[in-house]
Amino acid sequence: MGSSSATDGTIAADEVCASALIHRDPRLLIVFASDACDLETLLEQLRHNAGSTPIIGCSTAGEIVPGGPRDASVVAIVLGGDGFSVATTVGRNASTRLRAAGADAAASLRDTAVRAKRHRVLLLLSDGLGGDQQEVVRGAYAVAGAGVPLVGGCAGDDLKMQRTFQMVDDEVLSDAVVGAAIGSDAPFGIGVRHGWQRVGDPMLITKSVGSRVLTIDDQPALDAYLARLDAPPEAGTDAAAFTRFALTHPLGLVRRGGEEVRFIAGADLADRSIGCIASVPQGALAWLMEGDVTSVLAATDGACRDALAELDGHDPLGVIAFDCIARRGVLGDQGISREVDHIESHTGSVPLAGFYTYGEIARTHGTGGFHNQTLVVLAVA
Amino acid sequence: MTSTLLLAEFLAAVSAAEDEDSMLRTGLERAAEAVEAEVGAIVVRGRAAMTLGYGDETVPAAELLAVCGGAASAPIPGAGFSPALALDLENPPRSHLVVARAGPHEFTSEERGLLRAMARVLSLVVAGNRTQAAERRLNDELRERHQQLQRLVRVTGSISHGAPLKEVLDTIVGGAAELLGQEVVGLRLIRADDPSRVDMVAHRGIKDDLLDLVLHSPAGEGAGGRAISENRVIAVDHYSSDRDMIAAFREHKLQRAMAAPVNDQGTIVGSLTVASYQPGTYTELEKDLLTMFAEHASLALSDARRVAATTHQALHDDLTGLPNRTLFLDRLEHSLIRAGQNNANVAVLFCDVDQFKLVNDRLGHSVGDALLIAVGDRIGGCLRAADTAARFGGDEFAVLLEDSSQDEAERVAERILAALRPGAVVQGRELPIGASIGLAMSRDATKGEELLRFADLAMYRAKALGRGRYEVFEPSMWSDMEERADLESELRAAIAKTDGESDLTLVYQPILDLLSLDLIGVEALARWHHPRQGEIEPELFITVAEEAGLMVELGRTILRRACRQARVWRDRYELTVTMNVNVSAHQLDDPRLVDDVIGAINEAGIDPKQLMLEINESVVMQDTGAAASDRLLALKGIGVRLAIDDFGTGYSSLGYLKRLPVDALKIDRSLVQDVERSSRDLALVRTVLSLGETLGLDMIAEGIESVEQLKALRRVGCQQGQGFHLCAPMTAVELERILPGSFGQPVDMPAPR
Repeated sequence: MGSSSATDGTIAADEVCASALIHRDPRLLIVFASDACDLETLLEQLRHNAGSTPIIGCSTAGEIVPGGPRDASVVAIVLGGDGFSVATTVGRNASTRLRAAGADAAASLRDTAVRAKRHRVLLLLSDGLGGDQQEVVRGAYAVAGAGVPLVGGCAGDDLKMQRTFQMVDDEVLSDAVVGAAIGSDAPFGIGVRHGWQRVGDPMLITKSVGSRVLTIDDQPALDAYLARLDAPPEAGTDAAAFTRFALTHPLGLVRRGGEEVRFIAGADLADRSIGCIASVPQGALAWLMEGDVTSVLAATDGACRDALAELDGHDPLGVIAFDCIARRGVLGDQGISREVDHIESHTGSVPLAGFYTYGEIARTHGTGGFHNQTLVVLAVA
Repeated sequence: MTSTLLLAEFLAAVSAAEDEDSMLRTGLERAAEAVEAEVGAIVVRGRAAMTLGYGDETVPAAELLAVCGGAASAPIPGAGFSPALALDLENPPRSHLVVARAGPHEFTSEERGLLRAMARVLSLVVAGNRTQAAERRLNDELRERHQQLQRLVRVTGSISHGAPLKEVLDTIVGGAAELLGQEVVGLRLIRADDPSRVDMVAHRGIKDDLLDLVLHSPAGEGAGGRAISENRVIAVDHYSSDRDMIAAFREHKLQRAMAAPVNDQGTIVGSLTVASYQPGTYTELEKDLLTMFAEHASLALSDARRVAATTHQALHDDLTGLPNRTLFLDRLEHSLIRAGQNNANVAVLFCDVDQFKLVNDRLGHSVGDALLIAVGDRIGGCLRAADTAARFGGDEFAVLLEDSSQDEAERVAERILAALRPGAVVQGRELPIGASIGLAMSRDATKGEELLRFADLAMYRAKALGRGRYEVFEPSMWSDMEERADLESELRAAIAKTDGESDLTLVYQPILDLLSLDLIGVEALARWHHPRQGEIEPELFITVAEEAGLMVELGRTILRRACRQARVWRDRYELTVTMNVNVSAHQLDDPRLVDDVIGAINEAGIDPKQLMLEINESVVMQDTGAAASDRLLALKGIGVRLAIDDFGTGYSSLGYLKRLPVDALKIDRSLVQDVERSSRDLALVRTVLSLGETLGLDMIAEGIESVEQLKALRRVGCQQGQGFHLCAPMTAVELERILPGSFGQPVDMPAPR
């Protein structure tokens, strides 16, 4: 594992490789980089340093490295040794063919060497700005099936929300899904937790269109939402104040396996509706959710514990974290470095890399696997 | 998400598909997603025509077929055989929709209902598509059929907006009238209080004068009655000539009627009937459509019940049905506001059942639960209608007294204590109930949470003062809390210090051969001499350690010191008696236990056989996990011996004696205390001793406090024992002073006290 704060692609690549490529037999290089760094140059130099090792990566909204979160930096982690087999593939023009792109990115699972391994996982890095990511997951699932877990996240662009990048081998792409099929002799562990808690009574989404909620319990959504939460008065009159408040109070939709969290992005002060990041179906039973530093950090602990517990007693070799950028909002600068401390308290001195995402992917049960506001931890043994 | 909504989304998704394959594919995926199933298949004429979730793996075709034939499980990659369900599809002919879900849980009746409805919708859409494709001619009927589907999408969409039940049922009735072109529609539900009658809960097209006659009617009447009793769609094409039909409708010249049963999670609860004044014959498609509307009504009824139940569940305690913490706090906040406006007082009582954990651990959860229900009932019986009793989980109850003076509140606390005092008979067993109550008044706090915390503090004081009583909150209790926090940090420091410097010390109670009174072993016990407060009761500092999460560290310290002491005695006096050390539940759950024990043995350089670990019976009776059992087996493997402490207090199975590698049983003092007086107790001890003999275990009697007890125990053949009559716990130095001499009090001398 290596990291660098250089924005010059060549220097950054050399710096991360200096420590990441100690392994004699690298099988996969995973890189998460801010787009403040010149990604073309970065990838070129990584390729130069890593020889023919497969590479997969994406742009970020912040990087996770041991010692704390970073911004405008590069982090890389290398899987090595004959315990692993890896193949990469890419799904292009994803926004017009989300499902097919997901299936294309999963085609790497057909690699014979990967199939020969006892345990497999499909790592997906996608462009979350390109449409309904559950479709990408559906496409990948059609190839992977129930026996192979899916894990990953949507690339970021430091919250500019304009364009994100996916990297695979020699290419820097946008509007793509890149996939790395990883086969291993040892099990993988995946932990998925969100850390939000239900507040008060359940309520009905009485009117909604797509991701916009018009009424809750037959009252204007914004007023019903604020009244339930004892919100500061300015949250009802100032859009920015509302967004700040809503960041830590998402909606939880009731699903069989628990809640699905919906991040509330903003409110329309005129028609009193609220807008979410993903669709909120009319008629859904929902809870208001509250999170604070304690509950979000408890979820961090839970996700790490879950991931490590699935290793069946094997020692972890590395840990990769996909952490929702909105959680960073809840935790604040201080909290977020405590989150990384919490992760490290579970993983010890094991290499750790990750990034702040625009959506997380983790399918371990059911067929759904796209998440919001969630921390996904992949432990490799 | 509500079932009606899922069904509407499902219909919209499959209707949007362009060809039969994508209809089936979409139907399969959405059905699986709705119930979070990992895999699924569409099986057509005995062949898995398409599958989901097998990826590139081999599809277990035979097993999927078996599900269509009634098998209840199918393999899922990575999860093995898991609960599975097949639903009949009418189109394509002879086909099934199969889903399977990982995990132990079968599909619920609600999920089955939803999947059945989805299968029917999928069949209808496929049928419409097939007819069009096969005939290749858009005659009027086919266009009609297509339009019907479009209207169906619209109607089901409008059903599913989560509106009140009445509105949903009206929409269903209206939709059925519109789509089936029938003038009269009625939805009847069987009365909950009188199943022989039905009520018309939604209707369309029934004139007022007629409505009065048919609004309430006997359950078996008409097409609807027949649909209920036969649980199928009933079509009556000649209403006037059918004697079973309703007279009032016959007189109004109704020509025909068709009815389908409506159910709530599988139980028939009513019927949906359509009827017309125009003659005609009902087609199969119309029967299907009516069935679909009836299923919609069924799902809406189930949804409504579930939402009501969920809301209730979110605010009430499952076990006692009392309000939970959330609802209690909500009511408390409101009454604080009211009290503020009216210059009144609110009182909160925090009530904790004494020794509840003990009952729960020893007698099992079902007895514990029954006890809690009894407590809830009795507290409720002491209150006025305006007051609120709540259960916060565990053994904690709270009471909110609106507009109450402190005197009144204290009287309620006394009433509750008095009401609980007689005890309860649970599963034929008489159980004492006691409670400790803390009382706080609204003058002390402005926020509900704060008031509750104060009542909680007062409750702790009541517990500390001996339980079975109430205490009123005083601000000084805060400072007591702080003292408790000081005690915690001082205990932490005492554990961390080394032997000589620590004010945490060990004393040793000799275990003797009851015949010769020779020293066989010692039990190491911790004592804490606080620099300011003096001797702290073991019970108190163990509680402090538990609350501070220090039990593992404390246990480890005691273990290491005891092992070192054993080594000192061996070196100085060639004494190799057994060193008994207590191991807590926390240590047993700690993965480092084995390392800790081996470390202590190696550091002291003693023979592992010299160490005997004592585990309380209540700990091993709770389901000691596999990991804990493995730890004990590992310790056994290196030669350490194990004893069950306080044996004979548990009531459930002795299965753990086979499961765990036990060497000795320590007979609880409660069995020993009346052994010289009660022949029943003596018989019990004898039984326990013979059990021990059968299993080849050492038997040690605890708490021998009189010469009579000693004699009685000798008489029944108990060989080892400890207790004040024999020898009180003493420091290492004290013990060394009498080392070569005799430990026990001679049998014929009075016990020293």
